[in-house]
Amino acid sequence: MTPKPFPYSLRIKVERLPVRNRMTAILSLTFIGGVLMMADTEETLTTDAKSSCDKLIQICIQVWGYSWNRHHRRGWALALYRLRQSRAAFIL
Amino acid sequence: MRGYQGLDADLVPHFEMLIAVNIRNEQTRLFCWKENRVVMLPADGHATVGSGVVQIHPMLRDTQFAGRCDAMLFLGIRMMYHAKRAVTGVGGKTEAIALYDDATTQIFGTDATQRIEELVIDLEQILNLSVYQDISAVTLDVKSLETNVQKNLAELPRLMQMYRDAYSKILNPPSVSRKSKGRR
Repeated sequence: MTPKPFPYSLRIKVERLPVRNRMTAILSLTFIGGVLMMADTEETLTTDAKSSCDKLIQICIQVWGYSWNRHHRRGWALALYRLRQSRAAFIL
Repeated sequence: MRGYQGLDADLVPHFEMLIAVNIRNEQTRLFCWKENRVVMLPADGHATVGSGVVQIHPMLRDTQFAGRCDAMLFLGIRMMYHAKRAVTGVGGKTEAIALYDDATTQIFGTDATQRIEELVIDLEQILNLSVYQDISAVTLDVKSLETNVQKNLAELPRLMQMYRDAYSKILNPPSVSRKSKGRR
């Protein structure tokens, strides 16, 4: 019985990871008494697939800084942010 | 960011952020971070980042004022709707969060924003198919045209009130939108 050749080459082709463009629309509107942030929820996985994700992130961090009132020296900042990376391969 | 120091510009990821920061429970300011630069936006300014800028920016130029939260939510969802229609890769539901000056947040669920978006779509269809048609119907070449136009314009206040009531029903149920307590 003669062995059959593999249907594909065993040599691994080294190439750069495909670039995944993250398309998004993030909107921030100022209203009387605050800030309103909006974003779409579609995430492009591949050229043929998509999913949904949260693009608005709420974090609570402690900020140390100068204050005239020493009782208010410790403040809290609340931020909503979105990180857009058009070349996610470097992060992952 | 430090890990990309010295690399070619094409190899560095592209960063764009919008940051809303509450300062000592007194005011909320908006910051825009692009590349290696952070800019504080004016107190009554609006901003957008991402690939939807092309579609949203002209509409933001038309909205150079700061209204109430519910009014800006309605306008913003309308802008997001047009961005999702036009820009490839932008779609799905719209999520919205309001950060108030007293450091409380209000999260509008995607179900509520979806219903608001459907209301926006319906309103725009009415405007295109009925209101604009009635306003522009000045060449009276049909006998019954003037009568129909007057009848439609007379119905307009009731129609607008129906949209207002529908919007109120979406926003008012406490189970749909919730305001945080104690997150200061």
